[in-house]
Amino acid sequence: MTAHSWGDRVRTVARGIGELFVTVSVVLLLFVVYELWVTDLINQYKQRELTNALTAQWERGDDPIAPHSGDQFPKVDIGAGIALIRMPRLGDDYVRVIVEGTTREALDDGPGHYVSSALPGEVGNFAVAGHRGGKGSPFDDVDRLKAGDAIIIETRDSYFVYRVLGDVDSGDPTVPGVDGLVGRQIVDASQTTVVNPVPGEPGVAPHRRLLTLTTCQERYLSLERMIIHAELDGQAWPKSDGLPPAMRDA
Amino acid sequence: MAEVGRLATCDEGRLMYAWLWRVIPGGPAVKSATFLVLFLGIAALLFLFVFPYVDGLMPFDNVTVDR
Repeated sequence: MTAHSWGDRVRTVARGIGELFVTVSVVLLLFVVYELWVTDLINQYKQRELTNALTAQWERGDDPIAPHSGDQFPKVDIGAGIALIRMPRLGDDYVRVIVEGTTREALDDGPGHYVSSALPGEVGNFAVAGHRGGKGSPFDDVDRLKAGDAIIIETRDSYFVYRVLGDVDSGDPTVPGVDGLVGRQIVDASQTTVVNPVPGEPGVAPHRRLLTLTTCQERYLSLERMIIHAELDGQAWPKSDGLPPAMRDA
Repeated sequence: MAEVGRLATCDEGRLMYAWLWRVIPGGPAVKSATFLVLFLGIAALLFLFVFPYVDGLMPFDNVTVDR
């Protein structure tokens, strides 16, 4: 019996380690399933809830981002839906609810509005962050946007049609226009100036009506950010006039 | 036969799955079913509480520009 006991002990330890590895790999596999599929399912559910809540609020005559009397900025709860975003280039059925705020919880539910940035249609920079890997991946394919492509923001009363900057003739969004601003660029994660009222120029008073999307450059390992800049095309399009041409084409 | 005897003693109660198999009552079918229920229960705990927490600590998908 004692002749076997040392060998038995080694065997038990080896098997214990093996058992531990098997257990850990099953847990890791489940985590991958969670990240790749379950977060998308949760996000789909959340987006449906947010859409229902926002449209119900609109029907009651309440616009969450309409300036209230006395307040320069309306107070919206972090995580509440504020507007819809459509990008016909990413599919005719592409529509997401933009939520207020860029906290992790808010971004898990949908693209999030940088709270101190402008509101849709305002002079300045309406800046929105969104996921690219998991959580519904709302900004998964923003690298496919070409210069001149429409990004349409729907609020209670209006559509705002923004056009991606860059060289409209070739469709290349990485070529700076006459104004010096590009439609798409890759920046370091610390470069907060891209969401300034005048992107890249902190402290400068804006006169243009811009929209900026931020997302990660590399999916799953995100040290850099992909930035999309767009500018409002014309004026707000009242909903009472029906769909804007950019949406009718789509 | 001596080999088989030694395998049995070495597994006895020391390893988690062998121990579980031994303490779960019933025949093989009932044991398997109990195992499955245990597995699903633990998986549910992972998906509902552990993974959402761990996900928050992961640098997978930082999409905002910040400090």
